[in-house]
Order: sequence, then structure tokens, then C-alpha cells
Amino acid sequence: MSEAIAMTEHQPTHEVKGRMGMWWFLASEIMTFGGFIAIYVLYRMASGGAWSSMAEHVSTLMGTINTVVLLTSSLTIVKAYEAIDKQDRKSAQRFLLITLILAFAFLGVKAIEYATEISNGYTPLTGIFWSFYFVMTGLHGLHVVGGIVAIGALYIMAIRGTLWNGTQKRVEYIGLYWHFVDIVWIFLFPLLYLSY
Amino acid sequence: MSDTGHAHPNYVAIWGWLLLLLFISLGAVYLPFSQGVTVTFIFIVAAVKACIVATYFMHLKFEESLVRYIAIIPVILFVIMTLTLIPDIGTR
Amino acid sequence: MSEHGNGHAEPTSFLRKYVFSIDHKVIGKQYLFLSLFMALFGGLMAYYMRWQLAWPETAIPGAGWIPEPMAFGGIIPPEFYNALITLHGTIMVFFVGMPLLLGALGNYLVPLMIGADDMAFPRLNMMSFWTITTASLVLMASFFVEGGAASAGWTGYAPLSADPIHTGVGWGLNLWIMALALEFTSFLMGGINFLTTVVTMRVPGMTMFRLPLMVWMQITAAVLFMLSVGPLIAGAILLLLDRTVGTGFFIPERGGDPLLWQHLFWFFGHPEVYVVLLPGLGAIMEILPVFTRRPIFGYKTIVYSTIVAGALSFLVWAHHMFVSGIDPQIVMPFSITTILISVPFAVIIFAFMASLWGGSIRFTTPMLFAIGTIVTFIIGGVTGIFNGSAPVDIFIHDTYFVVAHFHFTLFPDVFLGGFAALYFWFPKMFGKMMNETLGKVHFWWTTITFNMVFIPMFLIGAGGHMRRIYNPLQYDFLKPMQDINIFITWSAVALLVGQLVFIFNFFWSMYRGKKAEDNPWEATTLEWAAAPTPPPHGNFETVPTVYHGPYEYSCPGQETDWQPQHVEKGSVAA
Ligand SMILES: [Cu+2]
Repeated sequence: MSEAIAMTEHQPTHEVKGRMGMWWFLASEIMTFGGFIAIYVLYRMASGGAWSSMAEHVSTLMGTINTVVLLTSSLTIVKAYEAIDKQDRKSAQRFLLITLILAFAFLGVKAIEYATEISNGYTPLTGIFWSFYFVMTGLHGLHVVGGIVAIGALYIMAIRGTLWNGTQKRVEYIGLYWHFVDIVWIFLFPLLYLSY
Repeated sequence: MSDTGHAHPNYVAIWGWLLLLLFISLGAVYLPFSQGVTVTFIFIVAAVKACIVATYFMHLKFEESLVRYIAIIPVILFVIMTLTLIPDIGTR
Repeated sequence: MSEHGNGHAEPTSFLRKYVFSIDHKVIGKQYLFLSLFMALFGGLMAYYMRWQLAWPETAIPGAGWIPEPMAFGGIIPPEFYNALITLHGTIMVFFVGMPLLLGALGNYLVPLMIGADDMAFPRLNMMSFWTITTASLVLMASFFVEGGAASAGWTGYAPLSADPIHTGVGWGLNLWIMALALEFTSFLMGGINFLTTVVTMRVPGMTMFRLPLMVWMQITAAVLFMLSVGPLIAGAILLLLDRTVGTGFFIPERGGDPLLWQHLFWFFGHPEVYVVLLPGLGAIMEILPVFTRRPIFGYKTIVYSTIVAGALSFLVWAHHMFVSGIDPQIVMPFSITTILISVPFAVIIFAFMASLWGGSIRFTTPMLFAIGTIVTFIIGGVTGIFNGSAPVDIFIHDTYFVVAHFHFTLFPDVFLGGFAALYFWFPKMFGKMMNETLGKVHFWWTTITFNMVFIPMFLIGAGGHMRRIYNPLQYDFLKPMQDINIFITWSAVALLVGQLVFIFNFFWSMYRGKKAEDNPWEATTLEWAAAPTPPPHGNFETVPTVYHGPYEYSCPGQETDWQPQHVEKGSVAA
């Protein structure tokens, strides 16, 4: 707690405010996704193994690919932050672009997955496992879309050269958000793809 | 030199560890253990992965304690909520 | 000055200054007017319900304007009665209590009390206000869609709420869920703002234990809200999908579990009552020292008790569900935690009483309301113990005893506490004093009629009078109690009509009131002692430095009996 309290002895910087605000936001996000995960786990326990036959039909391969994609995008955005810290504008811009491409790749794979499942007859109304599957991955997907908007805005600012007068710190806060989206997926992956 | 006052760990190596853990949990599914053991194991691995991302990528390791509390307290809370609801919802 | 903190320039256009303002003081007032406006609706609904209970299925005076099929010539059908109980609860908790105590008081006071020039994120602050305004519009619009407004109670229990076939309400309930989702979003934005502001923007010398207690209450409330609402948001999304897409998360025939909704709702619901409660108590904590001219008793004890109560509030939720068929194994633990949670609140109340003891009390209107809040809240708190112990609860559950209990906690907090706060801070907010005589008339009228409404409710509740029934005369065993119902209704009419005194005083004083000085109550905290009245854009002419705690009254050896936080002891008071 010492740093935050010490900060009040002089001007609070936008950096401290931004990071603090983002962490409080993430706390509420943890509770929301935590709520979903809790509900899923409890229902699955109550079902007494009846869901396994439904859970078999998700594509573990696609899920694995997406896990690798998202883990890698976490790496690239933290590299962008590191580059900004080291005043290396060029690689910061490049890492932002790679992150953006990986985020789109994630959504692409997800879209293929959804299309295959729906054409095979697995919709949100097929059974309660599939309801959970579509709601949880859908909500996570919306968070990815939100991340794309934010990272895209940072990338456009980087191209225009407006990312550098204090605003470059936003890469750190958006990065925190993006890592959180990654962590959610780290749990969704075994919950939905591995435990049949 | 960095202007945030903390060092940057070797992010690529951390990424390598994360991938390794991913493939360990994938492999565990094919080992001949009971479902209970396998599920427990892959969730422990997932928790470890999440901790690594939070500690290094989200630099909780270098943060003040207030930020750590902000991150940990909600996790504890929803775990408590889940455990409390097991007799009521989970074993219905 | 403009370089301190956010340093946004003072706006000049009307739209930027009064409508889409990013100044926390303007936003605080916007919240104030929104909450008072919504309170009129909540009160009107209470009047319709009370009339129906006293003289069932007769034409209600003043309800003739309600179009069909909501009412028929002033007579309300059961469906509309159910919508009234639902919307009365929803409006009073989420659209009056929270915007008044957190939105208005929190926004206006927190930056001033910590010496900051604005919130940490002024634009987010503006967005939070416009989000709850949208939510209010969505909620009011839900009356006019086909099938009428939500009628599953303010708790929206599944499966009643999960499938339109049970209530006949279609989009009305969907819009209700969406309005709540927007309201939650608004207060999440607000909470992030409050917490970041208090952590990062305190002026030099303002340590955590020199914060006025109101700030402590606001940040504890923000943390409680932020940590409890998430699972309910998850549940609300699932409920909306059940209703619109046709999933079955809360519908037993489709594999869902309706009981889970109750768990999710009350996991949020109990911390939520403290979210509303704490800022109201915070106002009392500011008012007591000013009008007793002595420090509040046990500052740190109050802070720690609040934190303990906040933490415990996450472990008591199932006391709302003792008769819902939950596992008997978890009934006893929840009974115990519920009884335990009264301990920190008892400590706080004793601190209040000790603060009053031996003080030279100035009986101004805010002080009267503060004392009134404490006295009525004690009744609410003590009757909570009955509800909290499972054996008694099984008897009184879903009776008017419960209705009386929670009105005895929330009414003193939101309205008596809110009035105390408004009479107290009105001079700072609007630069004028409110009329004291009218204020005292308002106090005595409101407190007496409030007790006349709700004390009889304990009696009929103990007599078995169920809550949420349309027509008590349908039950023979309730018929002997009908005279009490009629008495309650007349008292409620008196209570509501009495509020005209406040409305008149509020607007009359705003234009014709005596001009307020910078520090009319001779208070020590920064918003009174260091900021001009009304505070300019940016709040302070110079950044204050804080030298001591917030309640230094009657210090020996000082010229005046109050020592402002930003003036060093021994130096001449500014
Ligand atoms: Cu409760």
C-alpha cells in the first residue's frame, strides 16, 4: 500500500490513476467471470457426469490452437509494453500489430468452431452444457472484441505518432486487460474442452 | 533504461513455460487415470498458468501490496461462494 | 490550480457546464435531482399499493389518469399491483437510495473532503450518470410495453421470472433486467472512480486515518458493491437468455436450478443493503461531531467495525432463504454469521451514543434528522435479529414483519439520513441556507408518521399478514386486522403529503434562502473549512495541506472550538 499512499505526497500521475482504475475494474470482472465459472462447476457437479457425452463433441484441437494464439498475444502485448518502457517506438508498434493479428486469428478460429458446431446440430438450445458453452465463450469473445477495439485504437495512435506524450502508458493498462482475457481463457479451456 | 522503476523479466521464457504447461495438461487427458484425478490435475495446472500470467505479464510481482489485494480478494470470494453452494446446488 | 490533478479547463457553454458536465459537483447535483425525481415515483407507487390494501378494488383517488390495461378507472388489477410492488422496490433501492447516497453525496463530497480538484476519471464520472439516466428511462418505459412492467418482485425470483408464461409479462421484465444491468454498470464506473480517487488523489497530509468517516463509508460501499455484483450480473445474463433465447439455466424442466438465482441475488443483495446503508451512516458520522462540538467517539473502532461488517456481509446471504428449501446443513452457519454481523453495527451505534454523551448539542435540523436516523435504525437493526435466527424466521418469513423490518433499516438510512445530509450540505451545494422552522416541522412530521406506518406493520406481520398480497379481505383470518391496514394507509398518506414541506423548502431556499457563509456550521473538514461556498471549478483556491484528523472540536487552548484540518494547531484559525 505504501506506494499509493506515498503518491499523495506529490502530484498523482495519470499512470498511477490508470493502473489503479484498471485493477479495480478487473476485480469486478473477476467476480463476473467467477460467477459464471461457479455456476458452471456447480451445475456440472449436480449433473453427475451426464454432461460428458455432450462435452465430447467440442473440438479440443481448435481449443488448443486458440489457447496458443491467446497465450502468444499475451506475450506480444507485454513485449509492446516493454518496448515502450525502453523508448523503442518501432518495435512497440510492431508488437501491437502482431497482437492485433493474433486477436483476429482467435476470433477467426472461434467463428469456424461455432459454424462447425451449429452445422452439426449443437446450438445453445441443444442441452445445458451447450448453453453454457455458447454463453461463456460468447462473453469471452465479446471481451476479445473489446480488446481488439482498444488495441486497434492504440495501434492507430502509434501509426499517427500520437501515442508518445504520456498516452503510451495506456499500452500497460490495455495490456492488463488483455492478460485478464487470457487468464479467463486459461480456465475456460479445461472447463469446456478438457473435462469430458 | 526503463522509466517504471522495475525490471522486465524474460517474457519469452515465461511464454515457453506457459506453452509447456498447456501441453502437459493436454497430455494428462490421455493418461490412464481416473476422471477425478485428471480433472484435479488439469485445474491445478490452469491455476499455475493463471498465476504465472498474473505474476509476470501483469507484473503483480513488482506491484504494491494494495494491488495484490485487489487481485486476490475477489478470487478468494468467489471460491468461498462456490464451496458454500456445493451442498445446495452441486449435490442436488 | 488548474495544473493540480486533472487540470481540465472550466467549461463555458451551457451544455458542457450543466448537462454533459465533467465537474464532480455538477454530476453530484444531477444525481441528486434524478434520485429525488425517482423518489416521487416510488412514493406514488407506495400510495397506490396502500390504498389497494386498505380499500381493495376501489377507485383510487388520483389514479384515474393511469391508462388501461394498467388500471380501469382508477381501480388497479392484480397484475398491475404486482408491477407496483416490483417497481417500488427496484426504484427505491437502485434508483433512489444508491443515486442519492453514493451518486449525489459521494460524488459531491469525496473529492472535496480529500482536497482533490475532481474525480480521478471525470469523463467516466459523466458516463456513469448518463448510464443510470438511461437505465431510469428504460425502467419507466417498461410500463408501456405489451404485457406491462416486471411483476416478479424486486428480487425477480426464478422460475417466476425465467419464463413469461408464469406472469404474462414479456418485454417488461426483459427491460427490467436491462435497466438493472445498466444501473450496475453505472455504479461500477462510479465505484472504480471513487476508489481510484481516494487511493491516488488525497492532498499532502491526508492519511487514510485522517479521512472524514464519510469517505471511509463511501469507499467501503464501493468495494462491497464491486465484489458482490459480479455473480448477479452473470445470473442476470443467464436469466435474460432463459427468457429471450429459450435456454434453461433457471428452469427445472430444462435442467436448470431456480434456487441458484436466489443464491446469486442474495450474495449480492446483502452486501447491497450495506452499500446503501454505509454512506447514510457516513452522513450521520459527519453531522454528529459538528453539532455536539466534540470529536466522534472511537474513530478507528468505527473504521474497523465497518470493515469487519463489510467482510461478514459476504457470508450471511442465505438468511433470506431459510424457507426456500436450501440444505438444512447451511441454515445454522448462516444464522450464526447473521447474528454475528450485528456486533460491529452495535459497536458503531454505541460509538454514536457515546459521541452524543455529554456534548453541547446544537439541535439544528440536520442534527435532529441524524438523531432520528439513529433511533429508528436501532429498531430496524434489533428486529433484524428475529429474521436472522432461522426458527423465528420460519414463522415470520414473507409477512409484513419483514416489510416493517427492512423499511425500518432503509427508510431511516436513505430518507432520514439523506434528509440530514441534504439539510447539512445544502448550504455548500447551493450557497443558501435552508429554512430551519420548515426543516423542524418536516422532521417531526416525517418521523412521527413514519413510525405510525411501520410499527403497526410489525403487529400485523406477527399476526400472519402475508406480504405481496393483492387483497387481504380474501382471507378470513386477516379481516380482523383490516382496521390496522386502514390506519397504516392514512399514516402513509400523511407521510407522503408531509414531504411537500421539504420540496417547498428545498426550492424556496435555493432561490430565496439566506445566503450561506463558507463555513456556516463551524465545521473542521475540508469541504467546509477550506473551500469557498459554493466551491468554484477546481474546488480550492490553493491546494490545502492537512495537519490533523477530521474532528478536532473543543481543543483546549484554542481560540475557537473548532480546528480545521488544514490549519496547524497553534496558528490562528483562518
Ligand atoms: Cu441480508
